Formats: sequence, C-alpha cells, structure tokens
Amino acid sequence: MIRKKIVVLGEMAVGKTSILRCVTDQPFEGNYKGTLGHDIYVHKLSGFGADGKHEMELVIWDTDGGLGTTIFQHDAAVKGAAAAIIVGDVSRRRTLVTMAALAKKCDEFLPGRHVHFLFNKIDLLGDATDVAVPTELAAFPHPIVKTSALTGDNIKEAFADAANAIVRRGL
Amino acid sequence: MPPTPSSVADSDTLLEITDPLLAAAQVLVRRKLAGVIWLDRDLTVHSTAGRVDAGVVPGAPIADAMVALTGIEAELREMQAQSKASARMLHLPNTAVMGAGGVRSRRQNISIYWIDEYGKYLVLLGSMVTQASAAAELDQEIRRRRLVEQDLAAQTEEFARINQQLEEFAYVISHDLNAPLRALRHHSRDMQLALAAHGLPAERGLQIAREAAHSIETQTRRMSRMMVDLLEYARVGRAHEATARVDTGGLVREIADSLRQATTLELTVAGEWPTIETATAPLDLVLRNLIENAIKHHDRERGQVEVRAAVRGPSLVCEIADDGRGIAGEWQEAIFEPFRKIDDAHHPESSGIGLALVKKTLVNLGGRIEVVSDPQHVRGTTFVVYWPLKLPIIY
Repeated sequence: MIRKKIVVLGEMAVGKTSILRCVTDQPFEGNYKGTLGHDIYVHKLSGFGADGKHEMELVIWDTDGGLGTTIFQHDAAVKGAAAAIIVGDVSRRRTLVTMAALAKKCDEFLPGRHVHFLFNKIDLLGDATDVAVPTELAAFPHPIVKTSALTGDNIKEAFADAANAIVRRGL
Repeated sequence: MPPTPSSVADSDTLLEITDPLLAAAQVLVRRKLAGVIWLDRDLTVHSTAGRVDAGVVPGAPIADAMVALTGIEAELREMQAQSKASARMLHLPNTAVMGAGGVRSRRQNISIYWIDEYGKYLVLLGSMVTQASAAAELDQEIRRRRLVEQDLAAQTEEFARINQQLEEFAYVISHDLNAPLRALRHHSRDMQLALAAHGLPAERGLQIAREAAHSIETQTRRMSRMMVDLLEYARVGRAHEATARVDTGGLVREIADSLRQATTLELTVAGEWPTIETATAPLDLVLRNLIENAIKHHDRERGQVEVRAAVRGPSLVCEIADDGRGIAGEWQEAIFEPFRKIDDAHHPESSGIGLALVKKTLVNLGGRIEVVSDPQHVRGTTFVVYWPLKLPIIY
C-alpha cells in the first residue's frame, strides 16, 4: 500500500480541522479550537491504480493557521508533501486572498505538487454560486472545490480527487 | 575506563562522544528527551533509547514506523550529501497523530540530524505538553486554587469568629472580674470609715468593720473561684483527653447519686445509655454541670429532674429536663457565655461559667447543645446534648 503526505493549509478558523474530522468520519464540532502545532490524520482510500484495486493511505497534516506562510520556512511540516489542500472561508474574503499567497509558496517549496483549493463554509451562503474568486487566486490553474465541513459537501470527493491526482501524476 | 554519568552529562557537544549510545544518553540527560532513535543510512532503525512509537524497532523502515516522517525520505537522504551543518538537520515541531475516534497522541518535537561521523541519522523525540493536557492542567490548577481560596476564606471566617469570641470574652472577663474588685474597694472603704469612727458608737463601728471584712472574704473567694473556672474554661480544647470504654449509664447514675443527697428534688435517670468508646472526663463534666444546674436553679423544693438518653444517628442524645421556672428566650443563648447568670442574687457563689464550659467542651468534640424552654406557657427547661458517638481524631 502506498502512503502519501498531504498538507492542509489556510488561515486560522477557515475550517481545516473540521474538514479533516469530516474526512476521517468524526462528528462536526461547533466550538472553535485553534490547532496548535501540527496534527497528523491518517485516512485510507481504496480503488486506486489502473485496475482500481490498490489502496492508498493519506497522511494528512493539519497545520496551525496562525503560522501563515512562515510555515514554509520554520519547520518541515510541508516537506515531502505530495499534495497541498489550501482552504479558505467563503464568508471571509480575506482568507481567499491568503490562499493565493499560500499557493505561491507551494509553487516555491513544493514545485510540481498537486494543489487543491477548497472554498469552505458554503453552508453559510444562501447561494453557493455567488462566490467571487479573487483575481489573485484565479491566476492559479488549481481546481477550486466548494465545500462544507458542516454538511460534508464535496469534502471526501476533494481528497479523493487529490489522491487520484497524486497517483496519476506519480507524485 | 567507561565514562561516568556525570561526564556524559557534562560533555559540551554531541560529537565529542564517539559511542552513539553514549551520545544518545547524553542528549537524553541534557535535553530531557522522551526518546532517541538511531537510523542507518537506508533510513531503517538501528537502535533506540527512551520512549518511541511501538513500530519503531531495529530493522524497520522509519517512514513505515512513524507516519510523521512520511514523504520526507528524499529530504533525509539529501541530508547525507550536505556539507553545511544547518542542511543536515530537519525539524518537525509540535506534532501529534490523531488516532481512531479523534484521540490525539502525545505531542512531540521531532528533530532529525545526519551525523556524518557515524554514518547515521539521529532522531530526537522531545516531549510536548499537549493543548488538551495544558488545558486540563490549567483547569486542575484553577480548581486547586479555588479549593485553597475556599479553605482560606473558611479559615478567615473562623479567625474572625475566634477574634470576636476573644473580644467578647475579654469584655466579659474585664467586666465580671471588675465587679468583685469594685466590691472589695467599696468594703475596704467602709472598713476604713468604720475604724475611723468619727462620732460613731464604737460597737457600731466594729459591726460595720466585721461585715465589711466578711464581704471582702466572700468577694475574694468569689474572685478566686472565677479565676479557677476561667482557667478550666481556657483549658478546654487544648488538652488531650484520654478515651476509654465508658458505661454511660453507670456514669450518669454515679453523678445522679452524688447530687441526689444534696437536693429535695426527684432526680431520675431513664432511657438508653450505651457503653461507648469516648472521652470520659468531658462527658462527666457536661452531664454533671447540666444536672447540677437543673437542681441549683430550680425554684421549688419539690420538683423533678429527669436525665434520659437515646442513640440517634451519629449521636448519643442526652436530655436533662427539669420542671423549674424555665429560661426566657432572650437568655437562651446568653447563658452559654462565660460569667453570664440569670439570677446572680440567688447564686452569688456561682461563677456563671458552667454552661459556657459545657458548650465549649461539646463544640470541641464535635457535639452541640440546645435549650428547649417556653416559660410563658409551660414550666421547665430541657437541655438537649448531642454527644458524638465517634469523636474527632484530635481532642
């Protein structure tokens, strides 16, 4: 079984931990508790490879949003990641702009790796189609997925897509 | 000669030590690490020291054994070729692995060094206080402090109560001891005037002097009695009273027999008086004082005093009931203060400390006393004593 590392990045309180709880089938927690340091989640996926019979273990790093882009310099949390999931909060536009800054760092420190953008907390919007993508972010070719950690919308699919991209691209 | 533990701990740098295990021990000692792992060039575990994950055993690929190292194998291999020391180290600070059900492992700092001299990697695992445990510790500390504060508040309240008692006690003493002193001054002046006998018949002068001398003797005796009682009162709670198996029935009958001879009242003992392990002298003091009081303050020649008891819950409840004139409501608390007497005129020889002594003795033993009396409607007073069957450890 292959094991790959994915790092989840994003500003504080955008829902990174809630997304990972959703991925690992843990119940949603309404009370916000900031992540201090790094928490590592292990998530198994099956049905990979050309014959669709292979399994993959994702080692997913939940990071401290308070570190911002300094996480790339100060420690090895992002090192060796096959993919990065960058999360923003659709109800706070500033966090979407920050996603662009993080994506830029990924290009620098994780060149050639897969990046997925998650626009989280779509449940807070009346109409999820209303989200305007900041121009800074639109410049990147990475896929954007609208998610809700509360309802679970598109979360597992996003990680499965990222895992498929890792396999497909041999990362 | 092998190095002593102190020489290991005192060495300045890791590289001065040529034995990897000693170096590991040095690091463990100096940095209070949880564990140390030595890796071979191919990133398999060579040896370990201290606390490491379950899968970290010699021969195991480290990336398989520690999920935190997943993906960084290439980074680690690159370290072997680096010439700069800063490029031969890699840090993963404050990491924890989330297990099934969201249970977080202990947090740790992971630092990995390529030690060219040994051709091995050194992985240092440093303990981290987890957020949850820090919060738990904080919560525990807050609760501990609250308890201390509660204790302090209770102690402060107790000190305030004791201070107030001391003030009241000092007032009572100064007031009550002053009374016989004033009387002494008054009688001695009478005596001086009588002895001067200006225009007074000699016989009358002598009579006044004799009366004054008698009063002086009475007041002196009274003062002396007050001082003795006061000392006894102060002693309660400070002395350690011996305990013994006491037949309370035998004790109360003995007291009753000794008092019966000096009274015309009918004194009876009734109820359930068990044999218990208790402090004999204080129980004797309490019962004797209360029975004696009931007899002494009875206003009739014929009357009844009944002493009865029963075990109720944690107490031996003793009732000393008389059919005397009763105690008015406003006196029912005051009678337990030292030197407070309802009828000083009838009992000048009494110091008025008996009931104070009874109450203090009971309180010190974890017991209590109540007065039941309603003289406006019915004659009589009942003192109810709650004597603890199990005494406090310190008395």
